[in-house]
Amino acid sequence: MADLERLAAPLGLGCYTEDHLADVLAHLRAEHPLPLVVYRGSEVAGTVDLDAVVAHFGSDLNTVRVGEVMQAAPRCDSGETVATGAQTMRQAGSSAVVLTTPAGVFSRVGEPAGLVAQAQFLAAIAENVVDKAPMKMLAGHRDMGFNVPISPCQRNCPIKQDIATYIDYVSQGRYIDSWMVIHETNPFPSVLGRICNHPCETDCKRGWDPGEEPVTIRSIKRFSTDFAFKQGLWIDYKTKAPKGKKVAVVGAGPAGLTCALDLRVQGYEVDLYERESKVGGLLTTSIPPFRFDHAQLEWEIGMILATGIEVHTDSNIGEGPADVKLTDLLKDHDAVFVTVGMMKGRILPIPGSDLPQVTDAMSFLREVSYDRVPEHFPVDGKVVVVGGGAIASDACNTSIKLGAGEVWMVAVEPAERIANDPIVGREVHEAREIGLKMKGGVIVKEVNADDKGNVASVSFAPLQPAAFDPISGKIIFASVKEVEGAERWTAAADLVIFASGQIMESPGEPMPLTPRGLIAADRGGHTGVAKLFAGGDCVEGPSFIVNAVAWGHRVARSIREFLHEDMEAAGERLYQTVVERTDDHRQSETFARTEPAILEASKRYDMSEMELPWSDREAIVQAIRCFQCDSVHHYDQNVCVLCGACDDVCPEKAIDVVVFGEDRERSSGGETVVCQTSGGDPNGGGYAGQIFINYDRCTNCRICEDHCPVNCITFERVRFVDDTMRVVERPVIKVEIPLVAAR
Amino acid sequence: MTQPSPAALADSIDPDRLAPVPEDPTVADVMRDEVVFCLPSTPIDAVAKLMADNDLVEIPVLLDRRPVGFVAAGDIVDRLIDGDVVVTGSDFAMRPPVTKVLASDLMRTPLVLVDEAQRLTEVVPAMRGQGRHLMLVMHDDERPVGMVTAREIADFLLARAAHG
Repeated sequence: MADLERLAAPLGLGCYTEDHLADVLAHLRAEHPLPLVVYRGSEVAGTVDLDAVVAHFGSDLNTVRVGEVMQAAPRCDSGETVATGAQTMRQAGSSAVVLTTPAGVFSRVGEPAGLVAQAQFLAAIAENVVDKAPMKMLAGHRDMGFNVPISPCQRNCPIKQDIATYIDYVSQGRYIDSWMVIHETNPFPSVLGRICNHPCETDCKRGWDPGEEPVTIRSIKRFSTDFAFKQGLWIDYKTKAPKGKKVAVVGAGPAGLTCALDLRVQGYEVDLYERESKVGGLLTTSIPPFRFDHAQLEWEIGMILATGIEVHTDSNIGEGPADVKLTDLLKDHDAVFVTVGMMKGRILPIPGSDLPQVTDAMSFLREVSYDRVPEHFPVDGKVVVVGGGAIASDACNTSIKLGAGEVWMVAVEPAERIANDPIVGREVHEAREIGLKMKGGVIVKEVNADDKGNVASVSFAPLQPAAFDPISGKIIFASVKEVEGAERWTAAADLVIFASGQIMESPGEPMPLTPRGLIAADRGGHTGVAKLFAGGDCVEGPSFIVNAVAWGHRVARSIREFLHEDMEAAGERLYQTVVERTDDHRQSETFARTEPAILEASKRYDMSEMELPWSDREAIVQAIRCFQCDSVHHYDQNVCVLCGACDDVCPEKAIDVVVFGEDRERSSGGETVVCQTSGGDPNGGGYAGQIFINYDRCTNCRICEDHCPVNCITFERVRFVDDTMRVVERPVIKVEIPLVAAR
Repeated sequence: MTQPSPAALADSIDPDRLAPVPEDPTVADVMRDEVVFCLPSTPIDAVAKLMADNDLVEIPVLLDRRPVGFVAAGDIVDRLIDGDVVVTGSDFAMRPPVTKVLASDLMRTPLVLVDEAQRLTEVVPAMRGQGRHLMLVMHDDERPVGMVTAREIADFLLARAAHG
């Protein structure tokens, strides 16, 4: 039997050109990865596979006929070779070839007799492979099977900050070193040291045990940054030789600035476009100064811009007459990164929402950021903020500080749920201390006007208790139901602020959009449009600042790949590793977690920063609480005698010493082999064995190190710097603070 | 008083505060809960086996758990046409390597990476726009945790149709 014929599958039932995709979907799935043969009458007209379904995802498959989406069905004589069959298929741009019987005496064209699809060519090649072939498959959600000494906090951090290292440096009093480590991946530690959602703390091993609490990682970062700021230090980023390529970054928020910095230090020319008069995006226009020190942010932005980034403020990218056109940017640059965020506030379309004293929280906070009192703001009057998120909380706090007499936060979620929210709960609590009133479990219905057409009150309908999604923590829409016959709750108002979501303002063609109005791009920022990348909130939806920084790093890497930069050839390994021996003995269990104090309520009626700084002692004490999970055992295999003392004294039962020929209990559950030692043939009076550690149990107490009779144990840190983010030479510190280098 | 229509109710709530609905699931809800990958050093006949065994048209290439690119089935078939890889039959006897071509020789970039929290309706157009057949799903900690291909999309559509 000829090879090609051997690969063939029978033609099967197939489908017809008049069928709808919805009708054949189950059949397509059952046959996948083989396509279905499409018939027109009794003739083979083509093939169709699941790609046609993907291509029409989002459309009504009941309206798409198979004949409109089928692929060509090139024919090939069943007696041909496999290579010829494959060539016929590829030349036709198809994913299958129809085999025909050899032409007979009375016909020039043979009859269709079978089908060979791309998957069958692959399967034929796969037959070359025995099971010992060097292949690797990973199964399971998290079981990646890699033994990498990366601490849980770093693993959970979107920008992979080397947390254990910078905390260790603080505990040693090396504050500037700590600040430098932070800056390797985090250009905004002054902000993220105060208002990050700190996923690192969520997974801190110090908080794994019941009754224990995680290390205050965020505040330690703030401490190092405060120190460097007060010392007047400055990072002078070194930039590589010019690459002769130019990238435009649209939007000078945290993602745009991070990407611009990453590209600039690699030698790219960067044009940064910002529609506001100042850079920083939502950091400078939406987050009020009582949340973090804006002078420090200006200092950090200054360091970024001083690398030589061309800044174009007051430059909106859009389709208006005065706007810069996206198509022009694409023409003039080698790549364009759009990260415009979601900067427009949403006003819910309820009756009365068009009254003059109705605004959105984003506009309100933006006005305040320019040191202006927003229009219609009622000093000593009543403000109602509709919404229960972080932006709503900032709008409430800002309204109180601007001098409103009464401020209400009214939300769909129950008030106590908001107050206990891990992200905004603290901010809401702070606002309540200075007079915020809250009402939850109601839905806004109408903004009521007085005789003069000004806002007088807002009406809300009480809701039945709503259900919340356990994973996302968000409201399940189907559970939102008004209480039948209940009286509406009304709040008197002179100004209504809607903190009810944000909208992405598209920069125009050729930007691809999703049905939700966001930019269609993958996690690396690729949009599918040549040279055009996008990332941040405008792709992901409203998210956290640290995620925006991660977007900036990722897209910078995507752009470098797109511009054919050979990162391996440039001598940059995927991971740069530095080994440090760590000697300090921890006293982690001696101290309890503390957080920075908040300015007392009576002093919180202006825009002064609310979170107070730590003293050296407070920071060091909290840094000492860290287990230093990145410092791992190093056994000197030439010295270890497998005595088992480390196993015996380990209070966490994290060590197993296994000696070949002895029946020792293995109870740690550890699979990480840290020592393989041999003192001769076990059958000849010698010994050999292995030591296993369970790093989920180990707390780096180092009792094993203390009790080792032959002193073969030390602890070492492998500094694990991921080049996905950025690897640059250690920056030089300047003593003077230059002025911000905005152009 | 009757309940307002769902549309009127939706007009009164910030859409970003609503949980994903079954009609618009997250990527994590539909993804294949495994990552099938090859290394840059994997010979392409082994890559072909991974793809054939797992119904893939594209396969991610990972290096030290980091995605660095992908190999497309069409490129392997092209190498078959060129004679760089041959079909030797189903005999499982020991045999010398039948190809010197490695995944790194065929590797393309970029791999389509999506976040497990993204909505399916948003990422499928992005994949389609790039003319691609596989999305690698990433967790927040930058680890790949799953894959979405035409197979998972079809399964989702069939399940949705079954539930009306």
